[in-house]
Amino acid sequence: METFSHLIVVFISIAVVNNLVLTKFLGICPYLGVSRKVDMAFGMGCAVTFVMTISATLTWLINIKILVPLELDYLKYIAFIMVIASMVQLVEMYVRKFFPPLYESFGIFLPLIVTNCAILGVCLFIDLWGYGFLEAVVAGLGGGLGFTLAICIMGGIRENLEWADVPDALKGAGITLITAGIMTLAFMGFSGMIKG
Amino acid sequence: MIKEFIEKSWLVIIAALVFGLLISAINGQLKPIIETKAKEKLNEKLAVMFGAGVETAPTTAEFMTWDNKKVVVDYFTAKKDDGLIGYALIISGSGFADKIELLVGFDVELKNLKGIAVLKSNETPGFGDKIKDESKGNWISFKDCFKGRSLGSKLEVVKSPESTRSAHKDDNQIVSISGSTISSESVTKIVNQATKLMRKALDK
Amino acid sequence: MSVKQKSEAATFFIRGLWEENAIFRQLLGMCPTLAVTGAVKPALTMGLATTFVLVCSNVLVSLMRNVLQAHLRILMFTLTIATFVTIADLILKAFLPDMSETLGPFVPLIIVNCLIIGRAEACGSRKPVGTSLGDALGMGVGFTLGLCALAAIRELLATGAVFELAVLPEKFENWNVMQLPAGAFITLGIMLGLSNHFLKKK
Repeated sequence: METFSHLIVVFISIAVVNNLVLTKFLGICPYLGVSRKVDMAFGMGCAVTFVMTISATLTWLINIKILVPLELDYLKYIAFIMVIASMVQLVEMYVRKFFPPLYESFGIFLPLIVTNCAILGVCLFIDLWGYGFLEAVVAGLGGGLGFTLAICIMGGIRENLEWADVPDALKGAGITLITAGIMTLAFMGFSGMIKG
Repeated sequence: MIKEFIEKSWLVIIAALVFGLLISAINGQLKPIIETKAKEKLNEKLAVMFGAGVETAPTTAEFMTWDNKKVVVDYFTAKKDDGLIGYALIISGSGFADKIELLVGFDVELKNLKGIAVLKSNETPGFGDKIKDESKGNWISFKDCFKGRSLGSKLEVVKSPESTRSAHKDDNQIVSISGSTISSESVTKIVNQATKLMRKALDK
Repeated sequence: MSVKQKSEAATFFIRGLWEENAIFRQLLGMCPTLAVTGAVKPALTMGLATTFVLVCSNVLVSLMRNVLQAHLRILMFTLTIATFVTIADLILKAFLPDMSETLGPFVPLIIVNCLIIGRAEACGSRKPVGTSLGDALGMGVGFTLGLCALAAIRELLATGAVFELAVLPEKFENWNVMQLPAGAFITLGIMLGLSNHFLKKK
């Protein structure tokens, strides 16, 4: 029971309190690029969550079970990015073959995910925080859902911003960044929620 | 099949081999430097804590918990002119944003703290990361508040103006950083934990 | 290198500095831009590390451009970049341990900086070595300058100092928000707006 509640803490911590996008600045490129519409943002979010959970699990296994015992941990970064890149390829092929409707909806985002720093970021943070296996899986899932949450809220705000009277110079990226800034202030309300 | 595979991927295979060798060569060259630097940094902090000329050595001790689990504690002994002057322990716990890792120094009898040093932290800039601040002039920083503190009873965080820190020099009250009560409480909690662990390990 | 190639390299260098500046024009490499610009020192270190990786990988990709297989292109790019990032990380750890700790996982995250892979794709795999070198240097220096500009503003408002040297009078009330993520987003947003307003009309 104790481990279960601990896993919930890990989940909430990475999904909300230490939200990857809003407090760790990970995955900013898709956050600014693919958040114009809510449904697009949601598609991207799902694809990221999917890949992030799988890669967090796999990189943990490779790091702890292969690289660390062999004292090859200096090859960590290369191994991580190779796992992520090949995972994305595999997932893309698998989804295209067996779930065509799913592929239609988020397949186009898959190649973009390789350079999404949120995924590599989560794998690195899991290593840095010294998480165990279950924690790593939960952190991968939570990180992905946190990303989806942030990007969908942003999509919603931007849909409405289209009707707002924004100064010409700030149109596009400028106002998006300022909106994101205000959102991080709101998310700061969560920090400190988890104690000891 | 195999021929085709090699034709298509020879570059990747060669590159992976060359890069792997390159990195392991560089790692071999730089690893000793990285390790010495890390050691030097720790020694510097220990020297600040126990005074210059101190010699420290890593040691381990173990004790049994009430449910018969063996706990191994890694700590440092500090010696000066062949006399034991204290112990230091590296310990981490959760802070406001992330883990905080502290180096906590004790005197020989575990009656007083020699001081604390923050080894790793990721607290909010401008707020929680004031746990790392050094004292300036008459103002005593949060970290230095622990220096020489008596360990008679558990340390507690109190919220009073930071200027009253010197007034609380001898009791168990640590004046928190204004605006960062949680970070202050986390550090104090970790120090208390370190004291408990050290007492059990040395059976004092 | 012929005269023509030299001038091409120079054009690419200058273009990277401003016209196609990674941060203000192309919005590439946003993660480090926001994450490490709390103070000038880490921003400068990050900029230099990125430039190192960018130059090395762009030149190497350019050397390999004739033997690259189209479908394995991205894999080769990431492999090359990851190698140089690991080297940069080891060097930082050995010679600037404090900086390496401050930057934390943002050093390995250079691997997924879209700027680098973008340059490898757009320039390294198409142009000769000289041009790629010029392009990488220009992009890298432009990126570093952008990082430092943003960091200088944030550090000044957050602590009243630039490069840890006090600039504003002691009485200045520090704007803590500038050190927080919010400060990063808002400052960059306003800087983008200003650069659009004053420079785009031409």
